[in-house]
Amino acid sequence: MRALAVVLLILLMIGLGAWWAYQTYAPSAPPPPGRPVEEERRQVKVTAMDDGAQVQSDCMDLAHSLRAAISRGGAIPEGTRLVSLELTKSGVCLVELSKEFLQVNESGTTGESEAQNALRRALGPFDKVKSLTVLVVGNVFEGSHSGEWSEIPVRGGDAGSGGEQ
Amino acid sequence: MGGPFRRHGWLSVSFLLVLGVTNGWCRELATVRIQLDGKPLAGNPVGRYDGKELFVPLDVVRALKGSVAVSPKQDSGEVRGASGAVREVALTRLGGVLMVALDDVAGMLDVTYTVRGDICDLRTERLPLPSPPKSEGSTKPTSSETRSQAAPPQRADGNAKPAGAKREARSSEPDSGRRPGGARKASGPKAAATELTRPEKTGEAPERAASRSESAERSPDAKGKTEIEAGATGAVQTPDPVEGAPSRPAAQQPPVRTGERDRGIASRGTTTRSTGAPSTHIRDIVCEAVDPDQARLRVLADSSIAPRVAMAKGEPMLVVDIPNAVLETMTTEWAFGHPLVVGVRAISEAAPGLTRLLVKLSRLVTYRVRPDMPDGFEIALRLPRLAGRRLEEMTVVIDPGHGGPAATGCSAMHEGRRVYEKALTLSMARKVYDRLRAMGINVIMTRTDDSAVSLAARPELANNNLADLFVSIHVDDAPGNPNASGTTVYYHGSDENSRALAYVLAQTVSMAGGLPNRGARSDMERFVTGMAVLRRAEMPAVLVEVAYISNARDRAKLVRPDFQDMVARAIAEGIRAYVEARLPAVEPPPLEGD
Repeated sequence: MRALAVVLLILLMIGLGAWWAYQTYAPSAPPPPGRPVEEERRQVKVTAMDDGAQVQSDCMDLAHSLRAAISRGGAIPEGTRLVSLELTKSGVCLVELSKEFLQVNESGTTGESEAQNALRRALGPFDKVKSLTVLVVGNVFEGSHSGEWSEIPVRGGDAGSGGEQ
Repeated sequence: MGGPFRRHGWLSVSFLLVLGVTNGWCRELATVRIQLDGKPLAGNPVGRYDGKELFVPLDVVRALKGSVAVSPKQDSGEVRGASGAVREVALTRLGGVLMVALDDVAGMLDVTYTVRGDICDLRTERLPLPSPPKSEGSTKPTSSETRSQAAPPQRADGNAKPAGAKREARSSEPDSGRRPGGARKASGPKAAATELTRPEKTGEAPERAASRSESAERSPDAKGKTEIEAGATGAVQTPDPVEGAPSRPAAQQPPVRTGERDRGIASRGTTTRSTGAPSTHIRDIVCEAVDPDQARLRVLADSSIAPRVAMAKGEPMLVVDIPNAVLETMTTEWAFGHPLVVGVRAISEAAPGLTRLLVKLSRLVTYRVRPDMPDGFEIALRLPRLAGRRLEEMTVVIDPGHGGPAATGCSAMHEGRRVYEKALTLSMARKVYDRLRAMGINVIMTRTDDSAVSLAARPELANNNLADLFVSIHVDDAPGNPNASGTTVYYHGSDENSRALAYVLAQTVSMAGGLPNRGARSDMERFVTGMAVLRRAEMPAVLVEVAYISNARDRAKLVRPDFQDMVARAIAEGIRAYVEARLPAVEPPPLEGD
């Protein structure tokens, strides 16, 4: 009886030990307390593009797609430049645009939604991007109809899928 | 002594043993010898490999004609490739040697690598980008892993760095302080884990189509309903023969998903694929009178149906489109004596495979569709909220769009001077204020002059004052499309009461202004997150885009005080019609083109 209890306890200990080790070393383990939040984010390596845009080095594909969308014009104000681009661990693409982009707020619901959907479409094909945050002069851009462009999903929804007259 | 020792001694010994073994096992990184193009490197450098990522000593980087400048803390370094590219990378000390993850630098150094057993083979020649593993002829897929410089952008799992490596990743972003806190809050291990479990996508187009059809079929979800309405708005004008199209690619390439929804798509996909032979048979339509203010319209069929439902623009009727269905009912006309519903007329083959039901209403109603019931679907109709309320007891918030020196809204030149949206909206809002006051309604304005009011403050004012309705007045602008003209009224998401109010106002304002009625539309058709002022309002809320400032004809009207007065009267009358649950007067109906 006692032997059985000991065996059971040992098994329990093995289980606990394995669990502890897993918790400590598994990829999803939370960072130890006390580390600054900054370090939760992916290490950012920045590459400068030819126009000076600071782009996270492994996100050049995103930058090229965005720049193509911006240069296509349409609802995106003329002269808008990509200033910086960064992708957080959780898939939020932080896109900083030059101050020309603020003119979006002078173009009504239709223009504003077209601008937003143009940027969403540019990032939509990239699975690593989940949402889009647009910054202008260091602040989150606030559309005068849609509100803050913070963590806007780049896929899904009906917006911009048609009927943009 | 014997008993306690036997017990506790054994326990602690086994515990420590287990810990030690698992600990060491987890922490141990495989040692790999590094070769360059099949030849051992000078100094026989040894790398570490954790099954996912390869760490190599800095000597290897130098051997590949790169240079490394190590930071004073030795936790990061600047690597310069042969081509001159510079990148800051994290360094880690493994086995007493400073190492760098080869993935971080492989691209700049123009190498690919293969790990086979305890040998890592670096290759300097460029591989054809689309299929890097193929050129590694000798590579056994079971025991090796190939990385190429083409890989980094594709690395969806790249954000989950192996924990065993314990890399000291200090942010090298010099200006990271300015980043918004909100953008970061979702980051972290949990989010990374969800990303990893996301299904693989074969291509963008099928995926998008799949998600479209999926959300269209999803019933209780508000977003799904938005989708239905969105589709239906267009369908009112023209029966759309291709509306089955979005689900067709989904049927051919079923998304890699599990769960109930998936089965729904699959079965739906099969129905849709056989466009020639519709498989849903509509047996009957019944109206269940819950009470005089509520009714349930049930469409009975042999399988579940996800219809598209919308209010007809010109007529007091609900248009219900059922794709891939055949009518097998005894009649095509049903008369119901309910106070809300007059009857239903069915049109078989309104478009190929499409059955259309026209539900004639006698009052303004809100509707909620319950699709995908085992035997068809159901539309719940009821009077809008506030119906029957006395006008004197109501509080309405009128919100003139924009305002202040910075938020001018859109503008256009008109007869030599610039017309600003903020001035037009204020002018119209003031007139609405007067009209509503005259009706005895308590009215609150979000601004009464050209002052700046934040987007958040506007609905907040309505919420704090327990307002019954919120009406925001705007003027639209379509850059690059001077022909766009007419009145659009937005409601949030798929809110039924807001939608009913939007329907009424689109009708009254467009008619009074002699403008095309662009209908009531969900704000999520425009913005995936909706509109700020509508999103936050807790009462039925709409945003009226009276007309287009970019259209010369609309603009000429907008600046005229008598037009503004007509619009104001129309908004006031629309609010009255909503409260009385009365269908607004209709213009001579442009009978639907079927």
